[in-house]
Amino acid sequence: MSNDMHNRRHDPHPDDDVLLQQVRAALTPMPEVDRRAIARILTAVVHRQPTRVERLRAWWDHVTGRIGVATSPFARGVALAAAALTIGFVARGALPSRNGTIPARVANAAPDATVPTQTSPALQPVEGAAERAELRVPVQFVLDAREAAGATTLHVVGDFNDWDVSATPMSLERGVWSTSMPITPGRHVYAFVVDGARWIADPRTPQTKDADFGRPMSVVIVQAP
Amino acid sequence: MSSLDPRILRKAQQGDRDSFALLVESYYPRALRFAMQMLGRREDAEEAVQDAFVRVHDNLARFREDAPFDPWFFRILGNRCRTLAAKRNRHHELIDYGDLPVDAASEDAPYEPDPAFTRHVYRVLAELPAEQREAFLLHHVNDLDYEEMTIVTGAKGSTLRMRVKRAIDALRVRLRDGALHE
Repeated sequence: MSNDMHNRRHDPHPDDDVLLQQVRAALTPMPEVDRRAIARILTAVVHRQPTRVERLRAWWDHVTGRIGVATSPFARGVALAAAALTIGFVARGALPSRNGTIPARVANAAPDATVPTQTSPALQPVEGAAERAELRVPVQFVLDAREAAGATTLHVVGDFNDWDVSATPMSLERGVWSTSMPITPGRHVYAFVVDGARWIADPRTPQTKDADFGRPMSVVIVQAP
Repeated sequence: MSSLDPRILRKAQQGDRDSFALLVESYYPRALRFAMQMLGRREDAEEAVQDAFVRVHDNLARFREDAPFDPWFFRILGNRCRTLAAKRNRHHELIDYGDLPVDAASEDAPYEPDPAFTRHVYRVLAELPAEQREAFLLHHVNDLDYEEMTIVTGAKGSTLRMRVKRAIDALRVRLRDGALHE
């Protein structure tokens, strides 16, 4: 660890003076955070699919990482291009397959009965379409603390956590109760439970009645990615 | 500095979405503060922060566990801010005072910030060259040392020290000039 690591702003430093400390005090407070902005980030990364280049890069990193090869960027680029070319030739059947045979359509001669041939296997998709039922989308639950004044604990309950009152606690920060959890796409019913006993609906979302007990519930529609 | 549990970072690297969500929750306020102070508009700052976290997510598997996370994160965020600033190609505007809770002073700040002084600080900060502003914010607001700032910016330590010094000198002169005229 270099000496600089120890030269934090709290250590005596020529720059430190009263004005500088006042400037720091003015700039230090955190801005108010819009929870929806965080939710947008989490949704964006869920939707994100790696590009072909990113998949190739990840594959290359995996290979070089396993054999401990440290390569220069240029060498990596050349190797990636070679790998892509190789993959392309294999896919098109220009290179021998595993059993050493060369597909007839690549050979110059007319198909010969004595030369075993095989058609190039169709490339299987690297990533198949994910089952919709398995996909979960991060959902933020937010409640202004004034809506549950005096609450010491708050939990969100719904059909997505088997209505378990203790399963999903929320945390209180800057006057807002919140939590985030992955939920499958579709229509979901939920409520907030105050101090383990009092059920309240989310005032910001459409409401419905609990079919069994008539308690106020809220509805959320989670969009599929 | 980061208070993120290394185990959460490791799980996020392995693709655990809840851990990544915790990482975002942990860093978002600081990221937004830095981006707002760099770009001057909340809308731009939120865009830069969102882009940064998406890039963090995409590259997290390649991040070395033994390396400090803050410089790596701020390098990505700084690049996003610079890119967005260049795209917008505008002068930095003063942040609406209402965005900042002046009564939420951190435990590191011994002084209660005066609202008028805070507005003045932001005005002067916005007038600094972007490189000086960035260096000052990284060192004096985000607690990065010069070695870490080199990782963030790619600039040498001596260059960064000069940028910070010039930023401080400019702040000192303009804030005192402003105080005299009030």
